[in-house]
Amino acid sequence: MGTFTKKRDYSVIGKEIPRVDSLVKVKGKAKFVADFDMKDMLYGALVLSKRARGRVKKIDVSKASSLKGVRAILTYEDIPGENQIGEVVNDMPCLVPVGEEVRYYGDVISLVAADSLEIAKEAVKLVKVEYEDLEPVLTIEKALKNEVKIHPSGNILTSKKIRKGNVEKGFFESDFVIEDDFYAHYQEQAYLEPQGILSLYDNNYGITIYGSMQCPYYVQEMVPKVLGMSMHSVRVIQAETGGAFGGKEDVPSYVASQCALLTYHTKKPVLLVYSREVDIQTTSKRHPIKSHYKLGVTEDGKIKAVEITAHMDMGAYATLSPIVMYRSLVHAAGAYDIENVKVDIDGVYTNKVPCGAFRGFGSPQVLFAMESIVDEAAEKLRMDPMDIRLKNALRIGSRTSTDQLLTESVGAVKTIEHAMEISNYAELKKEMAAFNLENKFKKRGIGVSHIIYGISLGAAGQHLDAAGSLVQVHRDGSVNIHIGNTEMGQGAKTVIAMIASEALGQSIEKIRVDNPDTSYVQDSGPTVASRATVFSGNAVKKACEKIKARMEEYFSKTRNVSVEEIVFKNGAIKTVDNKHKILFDSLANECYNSNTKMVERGWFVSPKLRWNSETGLGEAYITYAYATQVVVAEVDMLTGKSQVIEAYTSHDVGKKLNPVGLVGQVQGGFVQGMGYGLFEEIKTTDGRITTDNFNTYIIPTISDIPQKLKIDFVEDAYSQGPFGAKGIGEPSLMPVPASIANAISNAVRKRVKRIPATAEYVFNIIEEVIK
Amino acid sequence: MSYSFISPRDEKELKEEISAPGSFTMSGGTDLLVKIRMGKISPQKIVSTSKISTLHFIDENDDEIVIGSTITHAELLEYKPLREAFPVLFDAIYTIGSPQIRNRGTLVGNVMNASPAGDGLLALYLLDAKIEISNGDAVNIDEFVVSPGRTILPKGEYVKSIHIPKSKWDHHYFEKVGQRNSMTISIVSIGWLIKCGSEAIENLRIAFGSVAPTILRLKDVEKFSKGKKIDEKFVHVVSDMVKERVNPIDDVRGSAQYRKKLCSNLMYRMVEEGIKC
Repeated sequence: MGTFTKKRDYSVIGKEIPRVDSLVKVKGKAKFVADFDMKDMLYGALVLSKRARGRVKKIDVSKASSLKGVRAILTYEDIPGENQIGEVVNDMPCLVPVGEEVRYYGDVISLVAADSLEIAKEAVKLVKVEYEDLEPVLTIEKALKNEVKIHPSGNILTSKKIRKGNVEKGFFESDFVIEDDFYAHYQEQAYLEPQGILSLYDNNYGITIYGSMQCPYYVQEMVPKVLGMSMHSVRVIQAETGGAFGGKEDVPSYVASQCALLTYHTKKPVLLVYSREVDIQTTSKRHPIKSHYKLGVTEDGKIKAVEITAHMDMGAYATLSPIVMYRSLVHAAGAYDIENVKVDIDGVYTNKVPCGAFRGFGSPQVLFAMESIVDEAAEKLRMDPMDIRLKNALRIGSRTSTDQLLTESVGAVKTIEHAMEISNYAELKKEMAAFNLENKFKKRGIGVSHIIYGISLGAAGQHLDAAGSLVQVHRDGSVNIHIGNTEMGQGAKTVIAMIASEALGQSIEKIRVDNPDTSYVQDSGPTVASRATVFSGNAVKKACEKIKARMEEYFSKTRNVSVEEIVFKNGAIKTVDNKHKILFDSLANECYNSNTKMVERGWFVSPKLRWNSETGLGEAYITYAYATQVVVAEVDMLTGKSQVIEAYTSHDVGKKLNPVGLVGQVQGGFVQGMGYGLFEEIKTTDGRITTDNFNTYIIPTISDIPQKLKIDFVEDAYSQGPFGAKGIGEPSLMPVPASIANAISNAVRKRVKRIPATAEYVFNIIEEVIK
Repeated sequence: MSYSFISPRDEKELKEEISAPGSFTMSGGTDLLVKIRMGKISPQKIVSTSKISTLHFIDENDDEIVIGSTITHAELLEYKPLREAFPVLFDAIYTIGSPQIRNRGTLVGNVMNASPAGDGLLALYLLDAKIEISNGDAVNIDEFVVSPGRTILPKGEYVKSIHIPKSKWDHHYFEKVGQRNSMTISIVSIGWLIKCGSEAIENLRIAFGSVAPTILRLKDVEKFSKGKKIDEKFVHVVSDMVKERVNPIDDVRGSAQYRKKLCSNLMYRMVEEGIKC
């Protein structure tokens, strides 16, 4: 148990606190980017490639420029800085030059700014692009042949591996060795608010960017590069963000570059908001991953070895793929203590939409495959799926698949026990058997999954893994908090306000967490990887503690009491004996009158991780979240359609900071994972996405959500987390596709090897059963 | 893209407005506005029927229920006699879109959209509904709808109402196989009405959606079923007949092959539902 968790009476932490930003959002008062309107504001629009692959021969803008109301039409020649961009590898043009190749249906060729959106859209139609048609590479298999090279360096950008123990020896020592192929398809983030940026020249003669985004510092780095400016001339302020899920990690950097280019040339404010179709066609998705799993187990269910090869479809550009791959690599062998692990994973270019960040970052695909093969092993051994997981689960003293020794906060086993308990597992199995006996055309199955999830950026992202804060207590006791991580619907502002309230002793109503602005706080890394609570939370806690110490010191001196006697709580300060009492607000005023410094910064840096990228061994992440899930799915044997009937899920979160927020995250993660597991499907024709709106890209509605979703938390504190907490944003989704796939497999007595397990897919595997 | 929007107060004014070139008649707008946004149509004028009181009615007599052209799905679901007289239509309408869409959309709009996936439309085919046109004609629903998005409605005319003759049935069934449970367009839809004789089927009507250019009534299957007993053997035979008669296409929601097999499999709902006749 960590040092922060010795039983103490928190006044805010662990309490059910309503979201601090809920009222403005519920009332419709919150302003999102598309709501912005300014004097002389122009509207931006994009000219996109209509080929999956082709060489741009000519861009003719003459007709479009003569349209009344058009203020700018830009091509690659109008870029003052660098045209070659990318978050990890500079393999993507901001605007595709003449003579160069378009590499997917959606590559940006030209930018338009006009007086109205209608005119801008009209102008886009008038820009004539001539192509030389080139043969596109649309599958991983074709890309691997390397006959057509998408980039000069070849179609495999990068490969990563793990070499732990000796898998050959492990398979030799196994009683059973099973293997299979799995495929996990794309998933679209489907945030409610599409990508949007407003850029303008500010009164310091630099450019200010407002936008819907997760990572203001990514934007602040890329925009100056494209504009040929220095970073101090570009200020980035996060606007309210209506969902992101990874889809607004790096993508807003590209959107902001496009928008800022239009402002740079027109000197006017420009609003660029993607239509849903443009958003789905052009922005990053969850990577499709094809994998081959080979697993060796002994008769008593001990996993001796696992060998995995996987290929991920990166699409036309690398974007964040190399670091997504790192997470796929580390999570490929799942949540188990396995002596011998061999993983090889390649990132492959294709002429399709670039893939990137999405809640889980390359993990749900491999966790689905691992959890499927573990289920197969259990079936082969006639073992209960829970028993095999319990037998191989990680504990204190276990080593992960990258040989990381686990020393604290390993709630894995407890989540398995809790999941069995809350689902009444033994009884559930009986009920299912009875149902299946009675029903010929509907079959039910129970699916189990058990997962691990690395918190924050891990060894591959250590250089970014720090976060800052700026806390200012005003004369009236009200507090402003600036952090570098964003609120995007996940509840970050609430949990940060709670941490500040607890650490300062001021009541939460007096605390305002402001939207990140790059001019206040040093680069705090991205708001991804379930890291905001731990990183920004710690940074805020530190700053608050410094101010509180100073207030304590002032109080102690002026009242002539010792610091140990003073209690700060819920907006009041008093001595233990109740002799001296004052409101936080009044003490703040006194501190001001005595020239006390009431503003402070906090800085939290990731504990250092040792990692060997040659062997893929070492400390992959600072800590891990664990979860176990049980779902009951019903399959209509006549149509193949599956429905989740009930679900039980237990998550190790270290420490519950805001129970309401946690439940919200787990509910949302469940539904998003269920959509991925069941029916969210990107379909393409010649590389063009044909499911580019929500009438064809199907996400769950309230009628698809199971009637019963029971949520449980395990608290096994993490000593470096604020009050012992770990993250929940992504772990909430991780077990879902796997448990649903296992439940369907269990129901139809045939292995689901692909997600989403659409009605048509399940129908086809049932048909084979019948044959 | 700009158009004028007109909301006539009576049918005379309506008729004048819709005869102009480039004008589109709008009822709830749940299909029309989507088509405009997608660029599938570019109206010069939209003529709304929403303020015409003479089109907003439901009449009932011993023989039929007559539904005026501005009656929304939600209004129909709340109209008790409809559920009693035509439960299959009630079930079908209940699956249309979402509460918001059912508050705007109308049954006549569903007919005019003439989609092979039309849910209300499928029930109207089963019920042998007639469409009353402003020129006084009354046309059978299967003659009124021609192909996806097309009807025989002459330019300058509008639909006044739908007449649904009352008929007695022992069993009714409607199902939409969609990608999710609501807000979904059918991959395949099916509906049937069965009237039982003493020991066998006296009358059966069956229709499928999303498997042909229009809703498909399988009249020869209906004829074949007369006098047959509903058992697994019967369902097996009919299921094979259905497979040969539907003619679906591949689209973004499902393959033709899947659709064919679905139609055939859905006949087994008769067994699952335990229908005895």
